[in-house]
Amino acid sequence: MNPLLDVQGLVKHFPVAEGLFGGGGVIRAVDDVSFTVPQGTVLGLVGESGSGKTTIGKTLLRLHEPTTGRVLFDGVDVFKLGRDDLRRLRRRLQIVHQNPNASLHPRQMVLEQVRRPLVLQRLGDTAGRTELALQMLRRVGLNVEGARRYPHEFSGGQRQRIAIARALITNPEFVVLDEPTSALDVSVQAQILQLLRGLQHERGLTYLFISHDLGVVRHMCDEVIVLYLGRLVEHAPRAALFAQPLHPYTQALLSVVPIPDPRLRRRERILLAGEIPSPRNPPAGCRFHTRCPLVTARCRTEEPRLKDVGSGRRVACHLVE
Amino acid sequence: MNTDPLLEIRDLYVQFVTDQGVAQVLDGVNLTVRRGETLGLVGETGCGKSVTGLSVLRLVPEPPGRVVSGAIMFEGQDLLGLSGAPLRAIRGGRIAMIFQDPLSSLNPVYTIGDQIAESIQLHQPGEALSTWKRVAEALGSVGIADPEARAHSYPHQFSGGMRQRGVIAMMLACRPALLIADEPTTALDVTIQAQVLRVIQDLQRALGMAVLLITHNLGVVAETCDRVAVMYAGNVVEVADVETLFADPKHPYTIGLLGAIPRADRDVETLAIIEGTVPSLLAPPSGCRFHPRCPQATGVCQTSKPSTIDLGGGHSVACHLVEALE
Repeated sequence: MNPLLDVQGLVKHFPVAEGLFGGGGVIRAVDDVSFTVPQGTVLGLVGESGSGKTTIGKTLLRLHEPTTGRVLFDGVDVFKLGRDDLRRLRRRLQIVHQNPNASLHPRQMVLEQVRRPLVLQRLGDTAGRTELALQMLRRVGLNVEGARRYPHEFSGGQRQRIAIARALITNPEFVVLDEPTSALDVSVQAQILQLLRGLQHERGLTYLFISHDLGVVRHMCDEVIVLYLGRLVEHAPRAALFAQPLHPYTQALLSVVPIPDPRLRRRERILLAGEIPSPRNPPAGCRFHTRCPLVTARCRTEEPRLKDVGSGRRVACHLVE
Repeated sequence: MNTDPLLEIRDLYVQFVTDQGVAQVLDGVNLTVRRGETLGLVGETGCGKSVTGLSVLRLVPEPPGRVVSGAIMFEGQDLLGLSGAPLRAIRGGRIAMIFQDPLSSLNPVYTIGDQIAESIQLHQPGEALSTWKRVAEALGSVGIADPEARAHSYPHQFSGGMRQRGVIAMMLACRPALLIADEPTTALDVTIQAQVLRVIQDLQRALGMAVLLITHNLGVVAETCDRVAVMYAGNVVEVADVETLFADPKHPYTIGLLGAIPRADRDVETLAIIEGTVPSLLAPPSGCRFHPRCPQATGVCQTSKPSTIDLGGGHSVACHLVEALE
């Protein structure tokens, strides 16, 4: 099956402004990341602060301009598009951000905001757009009366429903979900995850699901990519990753996720020492070597290549053959 | 661990006066923390768990907050009757508190060491030299490498996880009997969270201190707490030891909440859905505050507030349905 999205050697470095207290240099947010997302599937991107997961999501949509690399969406080279073509492409490629308070306009009626992408894309007429917006709002669980209200009149979960309605109104094929439930309580998160799954099945959507929560990723994704300091360290189908993580970082990460079952309290954990290094000055060799419990001399000097280890799995670690 | 109560919150009612009216934020909270134990206080946004913690140290801003009635008994005295010097002696002395954001507890223009030293001098005055020795010990005890040197660092020179450990060092240098930790690891990455939780547990054992852990994360509760209290809309709806709460929850809200968690340790095909949203505390639902969202609500749930039923073994629940079965 052809991938809907094909990311090749994506690099994004942010220059650091020179200032009174130093500066200069670059933040190596994403370094040489490649992956494909098959049509109709959900790919999870997980990692901690500074892993580059959000930068990848935003760069794909050219909310950041890439440093180098290539992204093919349905065969179209996204980084080569001019302004008009890019705007047209965004009908098919959308994003939902973590914080609906930041992405929704505080002084615009909900209906207006959900309708807005249709206006920008010059799709339909006013009556048609309104009808579609109301339909979309109903689908995400808001009534007609709610459409005439303003974002502050809604709870966090309802605002995220509004943001989802707005992202999906142009009927996109691909949606980047950037920590869509991280700001929400667990009962509200369950409602939103159920909504996102339902919409995916109804519309055959393809998701890039960015999250730091491994429980949410296990629930939502078909395949998972683990990132550490801008590098792809492991990529595997969901079941394989959770049953048998291969990279020492993935193993440690999975072992310390708090499990809501006191009977598992005494399980073995891999407690990583030290802090997550700064992506401005990542460690030489393997970027994980400063915290890796299995580190060898080679790891300190030579950066491991991402190897294909079969069964659809890739790992970047000298210790995995 | 023994079962002596260290802290007893009795029938605590707290209101907040807002532009839109009076919010009934705590609606008769009863809670006991025993000596040396870790009690988890869990619930979702707005359930009153943080206000409960703040009330203990009399940190609820008044106005807009107001303690209507109740008592908070700690080591034989009612904290609600204290003010001035006796209250300051308790705060940071016998009871310490840490928050989600360590920067809210740290002064940016003093070194970490100075701030820990100040706390020690305030509660246990002694010679400056021995105070600095205790500062280094405190920083070492929370796993900060090279503590003598790092004591001279400013908060901005620490990472998020180190700052939180620095605050823990500051709070525990005076060997409090109770630590109130309000979402202490919520802002931290999961590998750093694991480090900080381990530090809290190790120090708790070493000092024989009790911990009131306020969190929304039921995974953290399962891993660190001895007993758990679940709050919903200003009420404690269920209390049990941690094994019982997770294996045999009785309140429909607890059951829903546990079923709604996506798990990293196993596949969950469908998550439990609690319909609707958290009610406004300006006009809380009549009777049981959970009844508009409860899948099993009956007529009595709409009209009368359920009393707390003791199921034995330290398990108690406030639900009419459970009462009917008993």
